[in-house]
Formats: sequence, structure tokens, C-alpha cells
Amino acid sequence: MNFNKLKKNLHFLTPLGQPVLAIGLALIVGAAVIIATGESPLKIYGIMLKGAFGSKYYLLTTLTRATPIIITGLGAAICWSSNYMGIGGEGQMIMGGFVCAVACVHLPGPLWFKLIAGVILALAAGGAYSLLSAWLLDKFKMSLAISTLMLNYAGAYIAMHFVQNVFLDKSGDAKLVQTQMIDEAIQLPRILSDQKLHWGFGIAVLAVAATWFLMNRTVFGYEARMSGYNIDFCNYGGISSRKIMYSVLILSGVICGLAGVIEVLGVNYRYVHNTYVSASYAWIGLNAALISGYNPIGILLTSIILAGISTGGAAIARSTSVPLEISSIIQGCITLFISARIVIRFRRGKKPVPAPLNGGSAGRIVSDPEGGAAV
Amino acid sequence: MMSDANYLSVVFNSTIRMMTPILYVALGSALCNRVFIFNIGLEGTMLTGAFAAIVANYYTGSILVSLLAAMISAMLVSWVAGIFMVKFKGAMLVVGVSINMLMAGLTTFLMQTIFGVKGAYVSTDLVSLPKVDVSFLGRWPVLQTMFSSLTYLDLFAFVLAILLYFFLFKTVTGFHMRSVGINKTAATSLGINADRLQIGTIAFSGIGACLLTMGGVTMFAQNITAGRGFIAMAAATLGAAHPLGVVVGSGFFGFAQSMANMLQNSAISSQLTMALPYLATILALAIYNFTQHRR
Amino acid sequence: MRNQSDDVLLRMDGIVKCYGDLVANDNVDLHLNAGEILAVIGENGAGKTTLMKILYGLEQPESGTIWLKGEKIRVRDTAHAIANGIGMVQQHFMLFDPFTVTENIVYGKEPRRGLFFDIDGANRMVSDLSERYELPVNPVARIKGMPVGLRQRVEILKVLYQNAEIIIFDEPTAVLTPQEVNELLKTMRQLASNGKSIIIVTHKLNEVMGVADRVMVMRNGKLIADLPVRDTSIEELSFMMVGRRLIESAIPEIPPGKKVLEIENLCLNGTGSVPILDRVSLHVAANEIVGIAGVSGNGQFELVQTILGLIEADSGKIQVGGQDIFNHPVRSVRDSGVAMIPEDRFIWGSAAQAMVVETAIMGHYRKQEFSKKNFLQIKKIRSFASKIVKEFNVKADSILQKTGSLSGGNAQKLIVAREMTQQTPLLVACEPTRGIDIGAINFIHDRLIEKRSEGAAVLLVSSELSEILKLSDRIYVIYNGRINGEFLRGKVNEEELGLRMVGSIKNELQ
Repeated sequence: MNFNKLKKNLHFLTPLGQPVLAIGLALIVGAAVIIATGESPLKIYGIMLKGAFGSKYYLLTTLTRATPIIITGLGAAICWSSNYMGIGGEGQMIMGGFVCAVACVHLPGPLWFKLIAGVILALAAGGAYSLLSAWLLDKFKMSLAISTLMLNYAGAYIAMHFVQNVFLDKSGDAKLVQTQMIDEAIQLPRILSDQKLHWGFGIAVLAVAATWFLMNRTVFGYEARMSGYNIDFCNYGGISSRKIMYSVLILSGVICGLAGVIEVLGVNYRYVHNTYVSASYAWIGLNAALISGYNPIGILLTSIILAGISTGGAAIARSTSVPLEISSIIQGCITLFISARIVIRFRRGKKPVPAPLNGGSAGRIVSDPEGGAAV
Repeated sequence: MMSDANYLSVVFNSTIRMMTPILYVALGSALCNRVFIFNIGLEGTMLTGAFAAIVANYYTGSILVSLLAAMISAMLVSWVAGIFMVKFKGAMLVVGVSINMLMAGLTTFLMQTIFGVKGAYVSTDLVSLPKVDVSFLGRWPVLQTMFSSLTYLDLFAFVLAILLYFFLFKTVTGFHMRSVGINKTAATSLGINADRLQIGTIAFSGIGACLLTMGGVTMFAQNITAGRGFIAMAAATLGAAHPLGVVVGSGFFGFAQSMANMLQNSAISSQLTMALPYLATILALAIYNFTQHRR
Repeated sequence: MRNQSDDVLLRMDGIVKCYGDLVANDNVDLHLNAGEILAVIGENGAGKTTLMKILYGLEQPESGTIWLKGEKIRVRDTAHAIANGIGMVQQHFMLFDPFTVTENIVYGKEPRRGLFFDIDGANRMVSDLSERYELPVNPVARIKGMPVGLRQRVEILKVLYQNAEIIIFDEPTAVLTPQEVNELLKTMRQLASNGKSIIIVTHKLNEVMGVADRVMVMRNGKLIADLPVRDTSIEELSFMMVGRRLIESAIPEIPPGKKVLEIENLCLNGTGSVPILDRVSLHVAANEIVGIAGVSGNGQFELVQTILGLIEADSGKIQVGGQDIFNHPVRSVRDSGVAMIPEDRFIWGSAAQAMVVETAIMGHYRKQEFSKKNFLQIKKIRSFASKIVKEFNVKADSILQKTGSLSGGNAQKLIVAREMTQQTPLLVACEPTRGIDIGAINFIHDRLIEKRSEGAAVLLVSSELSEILKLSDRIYVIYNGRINGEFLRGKVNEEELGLRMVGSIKNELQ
């Protein structure tokens, strides 16, 4: 048996090593928590697996839930892989969803026009919201982390203000802060008529393919990825880092805006205050991007797994005494372990190539070092 | 009809009560900034402390024990975050986001298993912190309103800011901490254990993040912090990571929140008032950075 | 007159230190007497800095012993060195800009009063120290905005505050103005007369002659000579340092063609007290390899970065093929026909995480053959990468493997291949063979010669003098940011070249 040959053949698995190990460790932590509640981890994980993928209904529910995670994950991957660590997916998604919902109801003209204009405006809103952070970084050296975070909250309240005071749907439950429902004709059709899963999932899969193509087959993608690897190398090669910064951030905003659009057109058919925030779509999407090392196909798979952990968590909560938050615990642990870059190497003797995450150094994420740390 | 002075004193009082939980966390965040750590995980740390306080309160009914439980648990979580950031060289944002998600999950999970409730746990059995008696100010009603129903912890926040100022700028350890923030490589090469200082600071910054539920609030709800950990980070940045500047930064947020509460029933949109502090942070930081880079 | 045998303060015997295959210190001996000023000289990479790092506890030797005051010690780390009275004034100052002079000097050994940092006491101590050694400083001034000479004085005071008996100066004059250099030499004499022993690591000979008692010459990790300064001369030392190289020029004679690169009066001020580039004028013609000889740190890297547009110069003129490229963005400079092998393969030349094929197209992925309307032509790119990997003997398992997993020599060959296949009229080769094995060096040299006979203009920057001598048609010497002499092939006066490189002979014009 030739071990070296075997190792060489397993080479392609190396990028999988880290996520698999991190997920494994996270499941162990989850098991410890479950044992603490007096349940059997095997039993609970069994229910979880079944509740996530065990039947057509559960599988399709998981995929529905995965849709916004996939799309926001792609949005995060595009800017993070270029080393611009924005965490504004939530705010951009809110902008996209809110603008789309309002435009599709209140714009004048025929339905097809409402739909097309609504989608375009929504994507522009997501992009513009991200552009604001890019501009603040460029002109004022303001940390992306801070500006995007602030804009997440500001965006949620501003959208809420307009929904509550201008576009409120007064027909339904008075407690719900939501816009009027969009016309049935412009709702995204379901893939199977009796199931929740809508064609938004198809759009998400297309977006995965498009992002993969963009990042791996175009000049822009090449420049963006190289900026993430080594900015000096790019300067030397004649890449304008400023242009890359603006383009990746705008694009990532547009994509997160798309996530909001699809939630409006395919799930809620309106903008409902707090739905995206409470489901943490954008944060889980970011986690998916981190776990998969910004690889679009990896994001597709990881998002489905993370969505499965959530729907599986709900199944546990329905049938056992274990609360559904077991899923956030596992998800949080996965990214925590991913951050520590625990690397399995299938080949020995070569020095490991550092993982793409920006480690200990502050990189661009730390708030302005002059202002924050050294005065 | 309230007189202007009265109205202002009510605003002042509510600002103080709104700002102190932020101030404690912001002081921790400022210390982290000083050692070049961007600890976004303070939101999760804050949840941990708040939850531990309620649990200890429920079981012991002792304010002191709850306070200790909150401090220790928050410090432990922060310490873990520090280990991941400094020892394992995890990207700070990623560690922070993970800690937030993990602790949001864990606290709600434990709330359900311990108290058997979903959403929120409220109980009249819970002891709340005693209020500072300000009846001696009775002769000056305006002053009395300004300082009414504050706890000792509220007042201590300001004392802590001053203490931290002395610690950071007048002691050798504070001096070393600032040097690590300026140039970690140089500090290490000059024989300072920068890793240990950074981890220690992160752990210590957690202590402040525990006092949310100790004041007026004797309840725990899912995600009760509602982004106040993030606000505190903004307040620390706004205050240029200087303990006294952080007081001003936190005051600004406290004021905006209390205005939002007071305007709830007026013609001005309370949602926009709630959005205001976030936008104001961006504006203030832009102005601050603008003047810094001009110099 | 000092007696060598009596008061030997420090002795290092048979020090060996290897970095991989490279022997940085090969059985080196050093001794230092009390109150003596010893100069350790040698070219870059001669091993002198390594030796000092071992003495200061920054590196551990493979073998060899260190004796201090007759006792055998092993210097574990810098703290241990300081505790033993060994201090070092580093070339790159370890100062905290926002802090005051005093805060920097007492750092790590602060006086306390109760719980607090006794800043007043510290200020007094610094004032005393500054008076005692006649090194005037303002204890409460902040470092930010201080001239380099003053910063160095703070570093010296820091070492004195730590009670160092032995003070190592690493390239202390590299960043100083001539006036500051004179001040420093005076300071060193002052310190020696106060009983301190001093080791100066430098490649600037004339400064050494003025101040040192004894000089040690190192070359290629070996100790070449150890002799009193009064028994030697600058000429002798410079030959010992550079070595007598009998290198035949390897290139066939071709008459140079039209001028390709023209630089006139290029100035770059930088942030220090001396300009980095001072009125540099040079040209390179087609069919010509022009070498820039100089000890590294004299502005040659900034020169090539300015040509490529990575640094904005303050004034001057740069033209390529008659086209102005002065302060143009990198992309436009490259489009005007400039290719460059950068000085550091993993900082500028490649990204460790990028695949070989991705590294192979940097700088020319926008060309017709590699992308159409912003879409990458993956097949063509891959076949190009495979082609150059093969042609340049880059040992890689696959063009899809990470560049960082290649050995240094192979990564360098990949970068050289990329820049050479660009078919540009001008190639700037900056340290093209640093730190790689002899086979790869010869290979790259052959390619450079080939490039020249194909009609390209080549500007070769190298701190390896033998490389310059072997390949160049013409040689400029750069010293302190100025062109300090120009030599034609075959008319190279090696002695003069060496002396001009270390600044012992200066251009009469300046």
C-alpha cells in the first residue's frame, strides 16, 4: 500500500479539512450542552438530521431558509475575499427588501413595470447603502466594521419609520409593522405548488454560478482576489486598490439587496419589520462565507448545512425539551473554531499556506488606529 | 405643565440611566482599543453577564452574589475570545461574531432549560439594586429629579471612568498597555509580554459588560442587549478610547435613547430618533477622523 | 596603549549559525576589551548583523561559546543580554512616537512611586543621564516629529539607562546627515572615555577610520581580518571587505542601440533628514545591461519603485522610449513598456496564497491573449503558465499549486519568467538572484543576457557586486541616494568601484 500516493490523491480534500474539523468540534460542544440538559446527543442529532433533511417537506423548508443565507453569503464573500471586511449585509438586505416591497406596491404603471423597476431600485438601494461605507472608508478612513454596523441599525429604524408612518398595511394585525402585500402576479412562483420552496432558490443557485464565474473567470474577479491575498503584489502589478475597494463593496451591497428582494417576492410578499434581523440571515450568511473560505460552491453547501441546523433545531424544539437555540450554539462554535485556523494537512513536508483569514493583525478591521488606539 | 428646568432635569436623569450600562461596556471597549483589539464580541459578553446575574439572583436572591456571578462569567467569555484572538490569531471580527452568536444562543437556551420560559423571564422575586437615597436634596427639587432612582452602580460608572483614566495614564501597567496599542512588535522586542497584556485586557473588558440587568431591569429577555454592545463600541471610538472621552460618548448615546423614549408619543417619529445615535456616530467619527488626518 | 590580554571584557569563540543551507556565521571569533571601540565591517549578508544578534540574544548559535568577564554565558534573549550589560542601538529605532523622550528611555524599567509610574523621577533621571554623557535631550518632548539624529540619541540614552557596559551600534550612520554623523562619532568617543565598550557594525569605512581602535572584517560569514585601525588603510579594508573578484565579463559585445530609459535629476525627499534620491540622472539603451552597484540602503530600491510608479517622486524626469512616465500610475508605466523583477519575491513579486498560474499573469493579464472584454482566457492563460514553468525550469507539481509552497528559488524563477516574457523594451531587474542556489543564479543570468541580445534595455540593481561585474555593459555606483560614478565595461577600476560604493571617494561634482 503506497501511503504517499494515497496522501497525494487526497490532496484535493485539504480545503475541506478545516471546515469538517470545525463542524466536528462544534458538534461535540453541542453534544456537551445537550448532555447537560439530560438528553442523549445521538437521539437529538438524529431528530435534527431528520427535521432538516428527513423528508421532502423538511428538505424544502431547509432550502427555503437557505436561500437568503446563500445570497448574503455570496455578498459577504465578495468583499471579504478582497480583504474588505464589511458586516453590513443586514442593513443592505433591509434596504433591498424595503425598497422592493414599497416600489412593487406604490410605483405607478403596469405590474411588469412595478416589478422590474422595484427590483432595479432595490438592488441600487443595497449597493448605494454599501457605497456609503466605502466612501466613508475612502474619504475618512472610517473602519468598515463600525460604519457598516451602525448602518445596519440605522437602516432597520429608518425602514421601520417609513413603514410605520407612510406605507403601513392597516388591514392586518395592528401589532405588525408591515407594508401592503404585493400583487400575486408578481410574486415568485413556487417550485412545487404544494411546498414553500420558491424560484428564489433557483436564483440563488444561479447567483452562486455567476459569482463563481465572476471571481474565477473575469479580470475583475482576478484583481479582487489578488487584492485579498497581497495588496503590495497588486500595486506592483498595476491594480488600483481604490477602484477594487469601491467595486467589491458596491457589488456586495447589490447582492445583499437581492437577498432582501427575494425574501419579499418569494416568502413574505411584503416587507415586515424585524424579520431579517431576528432570523440573522446576513450573519449566518457571513458565517457560511467564512466557513467555506469564500468559495461560492462551498457557500451553497455550507448555507444548506447551516439552514439545516436551524430547521433541525426547530424540529428538536417541537418534539423534545431541548430549545432550538442549540442551532446558534453550534453555528457560533463552528465559526469560532474556523477562526483559529485548525488545519488538517493531508500532505506532509510542505509548509502550510496561510488561510485567507486576516489573522491577529488588525488589518483594515480595527477602527482607525490613530483615533482608536493611539492618541 | 413641566417647567423647562424640570423637563431638563428629567432628561438628564433618564440620560444617566440609559448611559451607564453603555458606559461600563464602552470603558471595556476603550481598553481593548488601547491594546489594538477590536472586540466586537462585547455584545455577546454583555448578554452573558446579564443572564448570569439573573440566574444568580434567582437562586440566591443576593445582589452581591449576582454581581460576582455576572462579572466572573462575562470575564470568562471575554477571556475565551481573547485566547482565540491573540493566541490562535483568529481574525477579531470573526471571533467576535462567533462569540455573539454563541452567547445569544446559549443564554436563550439556558433561559429555557433553567426557567422553562421562552422569550423573556420576569419575576417579582428578583431583587433589584437599592436606589441611592437623594432625599437630602429635597430643598432643590431640580437636583433631586436629576439624581433620583439611580443605583450605586450608576454612580460608580463615573468613578470607574476616572479610576481607569489614572490607571491608563499614571501607572506602569497602563503605560505598557498603551505602548502595545501603538506598536506591539516594539513592545514585545523590548521585553513586554504583549500577548498576555492583550488577553488580560480583553478578559477585563468583559467585567464591565455584566451590569445591564443589575440596575432597574430585573428581567432577562432573548437578545435583551439589543445591540447595546455595538453602541458601546461606537461610544468608545467616539470618545477616542480615552476614559473621560468615553463618558461623553456614552452620554451622547444615553441622551439620544432617552430622547427617543420621551418622544414616543409626540409628533416626531420615535424610530428616526432611535436611528439618530447611529447616524450621529458616523457623522462624529467622520468629523473626528477628518480633523485627525488634516493635522 | 591598551593591553589586549589583560582586560578582555567579551569573547565569542567559534560561533556558527546557519539559516537553512546558508551559513551566516562560519566559526567566527570576536573579542572586545574594556573601553575599546571595535568596528565590524562587511558587505550586506557578510554575517555581521547575525553575529550581533547572537550576542544580543535575538538569535541562538548552532555552536560556539560566549565569555563575558571570564564567565561563560549563553544569552537566552534580549532581556538576558540587557541584564548582562549588553545593549544595542538598533538600526530601526524601537521608539513609540506618541510617547515622550523620558517615557521611551525608561520603558520596561520604569521607576515607580507607590502604585504609580513616577514620571517626575524618571524625567530627573533622564536629565542626569543626559548631562553625565553630554547627550542633550528634552525629557518631556515627544518623539513624533523629531529628527533622526535626535531619535538615535534617545536610543543611546535608553541603552545607557539600562546600564549597558557593551553598546552595539547597528549601522548607526545609515540614516544620518553628515553633521549628525560627526555628532555621533563624538558621542562614541565620549562613551568610550567613560569606560563603555563599543561595537559598531557598519559598511561605511571612512567613518570607522575616524573613531574605531580595532576593526574586524567579515565576508561570506567568515572572519577575514582582525587588526588595529592604525595598521591598515581604507583601501586595504575595502578590498578585504569586497574581495578581489576576478570575474570575467560574461557578455558578448554588442553596440548599444537607442536610449530606452532616461532619468534626469530625479529627487525623492522621503521623511528622514537626508533625501532618499538626490538628483539622480542615468540612462539605459537598447542592447545594454546597466548595473547599479551599491550597498543596499543607498536608495537603489526606491529608485526602481519610483520608475515603476509605486512611489511618487518630488521632481525630475523619467522617460521610456521617449514617453514621459514620471509619477504615472503603475498600470500606465507597464503599458509604456516596463517590466520589473521586484526586490522581494513574496512581498512584491507574488502572493503566497495565489496559485502559480495566477502569479504568472500579474501585470499582463489585461493583454489581448489573456483576456477578452474583461473575461479571462483560462485555457490560454494555463498553457502560457505551463509554458513558462517549463521553459524556466520552475519545479512545481502543478500550475494550480499555491505560489507560497514553491521553494524560494523556484518562486523567483517564476517571477523572472513572468517579467521576461512580457517582451517589453525595458526590464528592471532588482536583486534577481538574491538568496537562491547557484544553478538558478546561472540560469537567470543567461536569460538576462539573452534578453539583452534580443534588443531589450536592462537595468540591473544588485547588492551582489560580482553579479554586476559579470553582466553589465555599464555601471553606475549609487551612494547615499546619489550617482557616485559611472564605469564602462572593460574599464572598470574595481578598486575605485569599491571605494565609491562605500563613499570613500565621492563625485567631485557634488
